[in-house]
Amino acid sequence: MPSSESGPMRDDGLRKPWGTIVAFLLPALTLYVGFTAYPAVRTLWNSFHRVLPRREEYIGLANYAELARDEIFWRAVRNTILWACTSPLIEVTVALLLALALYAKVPGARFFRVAWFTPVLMSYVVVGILWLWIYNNDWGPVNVALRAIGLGNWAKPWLGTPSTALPALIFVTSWMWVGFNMVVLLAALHSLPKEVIEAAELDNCGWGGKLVFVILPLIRATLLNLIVLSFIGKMKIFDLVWITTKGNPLWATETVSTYVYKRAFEWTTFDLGYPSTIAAVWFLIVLATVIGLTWLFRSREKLEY
Amino acid sequence: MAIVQRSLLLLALTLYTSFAAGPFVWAAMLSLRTTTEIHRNHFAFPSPAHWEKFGDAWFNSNYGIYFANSLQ
Repeated sequence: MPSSESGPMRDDGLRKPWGTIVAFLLPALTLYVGFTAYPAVRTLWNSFHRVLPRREEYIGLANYAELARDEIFWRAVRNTILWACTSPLIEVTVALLLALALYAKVPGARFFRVAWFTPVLMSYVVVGILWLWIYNNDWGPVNVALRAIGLGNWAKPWLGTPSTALPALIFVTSWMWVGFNMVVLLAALHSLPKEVIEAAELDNCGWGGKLVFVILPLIRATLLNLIVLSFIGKMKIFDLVWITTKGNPLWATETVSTYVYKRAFEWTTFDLGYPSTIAAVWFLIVLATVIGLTWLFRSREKLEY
Repeated sequence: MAIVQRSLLLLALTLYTSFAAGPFVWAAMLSLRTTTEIHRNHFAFPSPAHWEKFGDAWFNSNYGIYFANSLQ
């Protein structure tokens, strides 16, 4: 007689082996709780206290009130959000152009791909030191080249001038990540169905029309994913800024991560509650912006091909 | 006309490649020169290429330990 019930105990007389399940889950759960869940909750707890070397004082929302008045924090937020908004646009646009160039089958495509991808493989520390040398006022290639072609009065200490320091660092991260975005976009372009592009050519579609009306809509999902990924990455940036400028000159390159580090370890008064407040507020801001971006970029219709 | 377009494209791509890989090539050249040589001219080709600097760097600076730490 076929059994039509699907209750947990009726299938074939076996019950869930809870002992084994717990035994297998316990190691991973311990690691997760110990290294992810507990630190997050503890940071939130710390943000409501003044955390001194051997005791804690409950001060309620005083840290948050001080945070709202903290000009350096809001400067850091502005810098970081500016970075996270401009960098993805530059990276994805240049990467798209390069990917289209490689898609159009130029000779040496494989060599170009490798050459453009090498910056991605270097760590931020190495990249920071390298670009410290490149931006050097006296002998860095940038200023030497400017002086050689006669634009000597454009040569300046790029990382030492408050107005050019942040754009210089944004340029460095774009240099790093264009290769990665290009590789992903090239894969997306190669996965497009040939029939749609050939149909567009049959309709006498020029290169521009083909690009805007056929190719771009088809790779829209990849483009938006890359933009969101780049955005999140730039919100967290720390080591590049720390190696090159440490947030100087005059907080022009101060990011939220460097400010948290300074408040926690390089401040005159030792208090771990305030940097916890910064971390908690920043987490909420990043969460809100990512949810906003994902909602903004949600796909509204299904492309059928 | 297609040839002109193609060669312009190739030129643009070569320029971008020198921009993307340039710092890496410059760092490679610097790695084979001593500090005094570098101070004299920052962009010269390594004339006596000091290959022994690599062995020096690995063995005289605990590089093995740092590398193993990074791998872990």
